[in-house]
Amino acid sequence: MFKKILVANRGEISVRVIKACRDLGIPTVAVYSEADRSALHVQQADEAVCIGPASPLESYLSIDNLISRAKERGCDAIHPGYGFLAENPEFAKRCEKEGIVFIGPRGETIQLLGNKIESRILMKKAAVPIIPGMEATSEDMPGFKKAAREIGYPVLIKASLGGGGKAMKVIEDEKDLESAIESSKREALSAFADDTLYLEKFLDKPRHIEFQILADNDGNTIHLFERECSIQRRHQKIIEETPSTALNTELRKKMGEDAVRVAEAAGYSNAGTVEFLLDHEGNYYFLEVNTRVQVEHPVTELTTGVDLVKAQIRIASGEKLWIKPEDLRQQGHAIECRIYAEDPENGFLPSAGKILFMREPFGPGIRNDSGIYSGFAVPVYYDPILSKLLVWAGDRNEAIKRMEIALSDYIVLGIKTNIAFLRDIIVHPEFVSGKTYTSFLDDHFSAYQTDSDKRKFLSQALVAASLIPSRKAVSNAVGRKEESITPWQTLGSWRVG
Amino acid sequence: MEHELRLGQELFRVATEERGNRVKVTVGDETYEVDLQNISENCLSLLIDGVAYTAYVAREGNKRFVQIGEEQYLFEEPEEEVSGAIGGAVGQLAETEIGPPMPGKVVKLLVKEGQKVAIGQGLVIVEAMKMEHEIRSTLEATVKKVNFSSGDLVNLGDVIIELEPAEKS
Repeated sequence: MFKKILVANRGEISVRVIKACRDLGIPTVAVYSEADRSALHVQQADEAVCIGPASPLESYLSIDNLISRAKERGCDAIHPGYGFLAENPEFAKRCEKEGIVFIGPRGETIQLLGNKIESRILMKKAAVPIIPGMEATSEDMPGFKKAAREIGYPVLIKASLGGGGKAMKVIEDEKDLESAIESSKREALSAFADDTLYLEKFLDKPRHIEFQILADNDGNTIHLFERECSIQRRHQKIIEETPSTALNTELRKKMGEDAVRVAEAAGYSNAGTVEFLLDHEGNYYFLEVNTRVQVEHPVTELTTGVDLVKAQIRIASGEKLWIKPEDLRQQGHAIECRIYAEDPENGFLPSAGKILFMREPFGPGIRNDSGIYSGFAVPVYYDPILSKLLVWAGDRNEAIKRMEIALSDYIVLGIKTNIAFLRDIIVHPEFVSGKTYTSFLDDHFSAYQTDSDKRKFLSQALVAASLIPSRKAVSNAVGRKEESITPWQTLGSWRVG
Repeated sequence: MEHELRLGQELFRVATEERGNRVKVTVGDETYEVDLQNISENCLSLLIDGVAYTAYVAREGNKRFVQIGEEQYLFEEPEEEVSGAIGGAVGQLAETEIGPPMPGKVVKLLVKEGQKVAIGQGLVIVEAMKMEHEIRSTLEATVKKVNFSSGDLVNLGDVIIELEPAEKS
């Protein structure tokens, strides 16, 4: 097993990886930019080192800085999290060259699958169905225009190294293509350090279904069932769940087998996700393979009992796969809501700033994967994801109810978040009935406003607002109390050793 | 004590009269007898007619944040001083002054000084939290002045572009 792991990321996923390392008894090194000295992941790790200025290109995306810090601190492995360099083959290859284990697939596999164009050609050969689209990228605007015409509008622009909805745009008409491609190139460059784009046919009302796979270094491959991630805003998933309401046993088996075939065709190792689009007739199309831990991995953990991050580390250290497909079951139902610092009532503008106070929901079947705390100032430089709220329950209806209450109990004061928006989605009749398509938010929540007529607690809120204690009054009262009680008094009788 | 609290466009007057843990609160015509416990700086337990409400609260400047149940409220106390002829808070720009919707970076200027712009025309692209936002003109106008260049960091209240409204013909 590894001696020490450097976690090359920030925020909630760094905290998640550090927790898995702790479970395995492996010390961790967190990295932080100058804007992240106070971030939660820095507090959670055993060691922490600065890797450069706030700008991601000079810090979290700097391969040289990460490698030299890993060597200085004596790390024999690096976990890349998701985003940043997680799907950058150069980073994985550099780790391999420097004798540091990259916790993920081999660099050449990431290169093959990370290149959405090449991976698509591979899947076509492996007889896995693919979406009509461009299998060659274009250098220039006339090339893109020609390709878009051949596919037929609407088309979807995607970054070749992309993920997380970054740089992704739907284009209905040729007149909008040029400016959209320019903008996507800039977004792709700043998010993935590569501006290669491709186009594909945009399908109407599909569901996003993905399969979690695990493969050891010898190519033994299993899948851990599906996740449905159809609730997306601008191609960014915001609510994910498992099992999907759209799959029956037969379709699940067929798609799962194809997912394993995809992984095997690519010579895959470690954890990965095979994404499909599923239409209402049960046709599915290979979309891409995400060669990293997914944001939404915990819903699979909650329903299968497998800790995917620990599995990543154990596989990377050379362990043979210890899970047999026949031992795996999907138990109960899990839902994840992504908590973002953004204002749903104001065009989803990101909302950086200081969290004056927060309180996470807790109780049976509730899990928080979080990167924030009361007093944390959310920086403007990075993705607005703050945390992920997860629930598990015996069935989907119970899980929805539990999520509704957990979201109500999630308090974040001081910055805008999407919590109330998520709650409105969770209780929407179409969501409750499982009619979830990637167009769900456009269809039902196109101009979102909270309903001010439904305010039940306005009078009580006014009462509370007028009674907010001044900082001084409270700290004096509490402070005096705390001073008078020392640990020696509260601990009672105890012994050392 | 008298409080003026603004919620969006609505203004509320609240009077409080404290007697130990018992507080008489008057909101408009309604009077509430409140049994108050300050659980912490950010948590109040209110008993009103035997019904328990837990309010999570925070204050910053003239802003008061309150959450009860799933409902969150942002009340603002009216500013003490009126900030002269300009009026309004920082970041409140005139229609002819184009600024960022939040702190960020100027990615691309889409117009030049002296250029005529139509309603809905893109003026500048600003990036924050890795997403680009295109700011469009709400006016038919001429670009009077461009105060920032690509790559510049901009804050709320900064004027990136000044417009001169077109004369009505």
